[in-house]
Amino acid sequence: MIPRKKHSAGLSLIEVLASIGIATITVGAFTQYAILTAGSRSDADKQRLVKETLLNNVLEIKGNPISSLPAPNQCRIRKYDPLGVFITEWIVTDISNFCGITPDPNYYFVFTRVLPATSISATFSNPTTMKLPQYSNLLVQVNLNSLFKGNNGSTYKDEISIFKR
Amino acid sequence: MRLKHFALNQNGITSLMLTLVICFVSSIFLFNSIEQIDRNRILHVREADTLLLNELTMSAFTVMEAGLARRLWEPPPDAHCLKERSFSVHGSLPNGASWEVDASYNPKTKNYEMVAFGQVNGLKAKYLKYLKVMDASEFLLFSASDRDVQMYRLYNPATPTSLIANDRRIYTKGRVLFSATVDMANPKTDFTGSGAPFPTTYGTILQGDRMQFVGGIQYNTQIVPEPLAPLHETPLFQELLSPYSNSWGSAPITWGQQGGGVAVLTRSFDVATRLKQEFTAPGGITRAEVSRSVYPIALFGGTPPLQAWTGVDSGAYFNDPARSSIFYYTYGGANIFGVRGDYTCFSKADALVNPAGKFCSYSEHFPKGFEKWRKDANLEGVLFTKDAEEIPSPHLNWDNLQALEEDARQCGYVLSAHVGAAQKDCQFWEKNFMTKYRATGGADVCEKVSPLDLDSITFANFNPADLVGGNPNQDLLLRRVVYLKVPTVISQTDAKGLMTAVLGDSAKRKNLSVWIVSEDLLTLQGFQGPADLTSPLDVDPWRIRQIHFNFDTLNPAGSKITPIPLVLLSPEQVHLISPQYIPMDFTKMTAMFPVSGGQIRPERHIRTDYPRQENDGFKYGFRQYNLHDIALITSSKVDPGNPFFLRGLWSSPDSSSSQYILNLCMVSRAGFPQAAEVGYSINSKSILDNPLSLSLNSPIPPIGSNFYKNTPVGEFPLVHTAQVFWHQIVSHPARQESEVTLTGLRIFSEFEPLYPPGSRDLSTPKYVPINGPWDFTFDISHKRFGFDQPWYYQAKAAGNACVEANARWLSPIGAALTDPVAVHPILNEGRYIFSHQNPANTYRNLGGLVGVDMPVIEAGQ
Repeated sequence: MIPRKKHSAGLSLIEVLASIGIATITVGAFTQYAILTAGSRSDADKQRLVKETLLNNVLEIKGNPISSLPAPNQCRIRKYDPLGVFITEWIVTDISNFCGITPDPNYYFVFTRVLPATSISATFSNPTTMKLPQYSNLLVQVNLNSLFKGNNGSTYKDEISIFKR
Repeated sequence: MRLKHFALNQNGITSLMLTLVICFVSSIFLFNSIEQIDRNRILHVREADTLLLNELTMSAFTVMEAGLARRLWEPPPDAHCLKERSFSVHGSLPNGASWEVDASYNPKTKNYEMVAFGQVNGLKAKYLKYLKVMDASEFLLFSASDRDVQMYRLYNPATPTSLIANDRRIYTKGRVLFSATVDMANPKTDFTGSGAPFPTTYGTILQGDRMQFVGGIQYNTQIVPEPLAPLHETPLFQELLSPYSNSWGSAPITWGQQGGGVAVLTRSFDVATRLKQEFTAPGGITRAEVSRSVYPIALFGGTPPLQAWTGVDSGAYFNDPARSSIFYYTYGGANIFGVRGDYTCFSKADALVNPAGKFCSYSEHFPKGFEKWRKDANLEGVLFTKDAEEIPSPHLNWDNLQALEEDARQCGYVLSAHVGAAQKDCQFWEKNFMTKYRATGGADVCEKVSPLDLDSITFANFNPADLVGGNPNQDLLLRRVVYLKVPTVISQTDAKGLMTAVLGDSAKRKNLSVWIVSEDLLTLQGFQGPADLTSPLDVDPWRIRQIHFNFDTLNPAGSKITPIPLVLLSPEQVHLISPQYIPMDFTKMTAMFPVSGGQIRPERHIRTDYPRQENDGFKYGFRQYNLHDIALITSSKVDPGNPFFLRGLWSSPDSSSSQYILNLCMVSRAGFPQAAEVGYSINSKSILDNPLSLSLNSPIPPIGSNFYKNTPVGEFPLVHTAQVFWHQIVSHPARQESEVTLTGLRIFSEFEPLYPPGSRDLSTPKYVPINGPWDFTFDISHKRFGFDQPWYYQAKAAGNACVEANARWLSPIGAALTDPVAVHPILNEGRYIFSHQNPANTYRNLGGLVGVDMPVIEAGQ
């Protein structure tokens, strides 16, 4: 057995410190990155949650009669907490896209508005004999908008329309 | 500390390198992981976007469907006035999404294949959907409202009523009520049963291979008045009914059921047809063949008298009409009215409104009894109430009418304004008209009616060769729409039928579908063949004269010209008039209905309207009106049991008490005192005093009128009603009405209230017939009467004014001491027995009516 030289055995202090420094810088960089991107990831999660809420609203509308929808001159506002739990709903006559609501970081909103068949943009290949009804409530376009304020202060909006008979 | 401790050695460098590598790899791994997580987040968001796009794309089918529903599910016409095979619709949305639906029509299956496309932000979706169209001809009877559908048999036991559907569907959202009150001369004084003459008892006939009455099935209710005793009925009789009868003038506590006839429900077209024929050609069917098909008078068992409130729903039922007891007796205190009812089973008067109530024959109150009977009658899988899927109910609206008008302008015919031959025909039978006429002091507010000769119509791109069986275009034949915007009368003036000049070939005629769509009043005028132009007053009083519409009267049984398959669509009740109909012009109107002092003071009513009825009602009396190959699509506000308004004088003597006072009033003349003819009461026959001295506008027909024909010279007919009816009654003792027979279809739909500017609400009928004093009030105080019979009314000496206060009951009816009906002139006398027959098997392909959704299928991108 060849005996090792004493100075070549183990780690020197500088080596330990350098390793710790490298590891610290690495972890720090990762942490910094994670902290810097956490807000946008949270917004993305919320964006997805809001879209799922929109989808749930669409499915609910599909399963109920037209009479359950707000009138064409009304807007139904639904309020949800950040976890997607429904809080309340109310009807207003402001039928702008967001029905007079300003974004709030503590809640998000889904707006439902109804367009009569006469306001639906549709073009038939036989426009003289194929038309949309004007004197019945048998067809409507339902516009759903969502609105929330992200962690970075940005306002997120989404929109979906469906037709319903 | 020694310096060498800070020096690098070989192992330290290795460790540092290793640390660097580990940190580097860890960083890459961690950043990759984070990126992967972020990518997954983005994918989830895209996934949610995809789901939302899918919903948009699937919903786009509804746009195409709405366009088709507006057209009643018919494809649009192409340039050759055939059905377009394929067409599309597309659109876009503010968020940048776009969608398109392509539709292909399969004329063999009458299905649409629709493909929907959608895209947004680079995402795409595609779906496939089929839609089945049910042709109007698939239904024999379709009633989409909650309204009850009654099957009436009135008085004549020799006339059955029927719904024989063969393979067509019968569907009513409301209840079906069997309302038979035919004359049955078998009064009972016990509950052992009245016997059941065959086939007359079995005259309500229903047949189909799918019959659904969502509201349920039952016999109609019938009050149980307390029998008179001892003057007119035996005490035993009164005692027998005493636990159930309702004392005169009090609110009812029990119901019986309308009797004098039972309903037979069968799946067999052969049995139903033979049973119906049995009424005119006996010997074709036995009672045993239909016994099990008789709808039960009680859906529980026991021995009569049965009580619904104690009935147990065990699966037993009572459907032997021979053991049913028909009671026929007098009631009403001194008034002495008559009543006929089936009093085999009794129900509480609130049985149909009390949630816990039970009505003897109501299918929904005794489900086990109903199911057992349905099984025994071999009607499982054929007869349904609410235990089968309901059919989507079409609602009609102005969109439908406008779409039909567009079709008419392109490939049919539009009557948008009155033609030159239009005539005034004052609608004196109608409430709104009379209200306006009275309010204007008798001004000419009469509306015109335009005649329409279907042979004068030219359809664009009409190629009769397309109608030949086997022609490749035959499946693509378009319904041809005749659109009427003004009151119109369509007459059959050719003995061989309608449109014989345009299309005389039967093989082609049967393949044409003509829709007559009327925004306003549509009136049909049938044809009376030469053999039926004789009067029963002269020959064959037993033969009921026939009127036909859309029928070859020259060859009724031989090589006839087939009817044109017609569809009549109107929110108003369709009227029928006789071939001899004379319009009520303004001159006749003012003569018959003068106005003074803000009141209409009639000189005559329909029973004495000789200027218009001399060669019509006075000459032919009871008649049979036959409508051939007609699908009637009308408002659910129209009574399904009386789908047509038979306008004019088609009946007169009835079982009402009011006619005795009223008819006498209406033949009274100023300056001619009234007295009874020798041997008669004054109400049955008053002296026809000085008939030669008639004024120009006499209340009574001139001497020589058919009104008096075959009565002793110088005498009125009985009850001052045209003699022809009495003459016919000799051969038909129980007849009180004419008949309407429809060979075709009946469809009753809700009309929606929205309407374009300048139009009207189709859900509210424009024309409201006046049916009595509750609809409109006249003043006939210038008329005179007396009453000298021992029943109904208090005696009055001749010469009393015809005002309600003088028509006093002997016994008050509830709170009513007087009878307003007795002083209300009759404006229309159009009672009829309605019979509905299945049209020939060739009566198909009329045009769509109902669209039935099929599932949506995802079809990739």
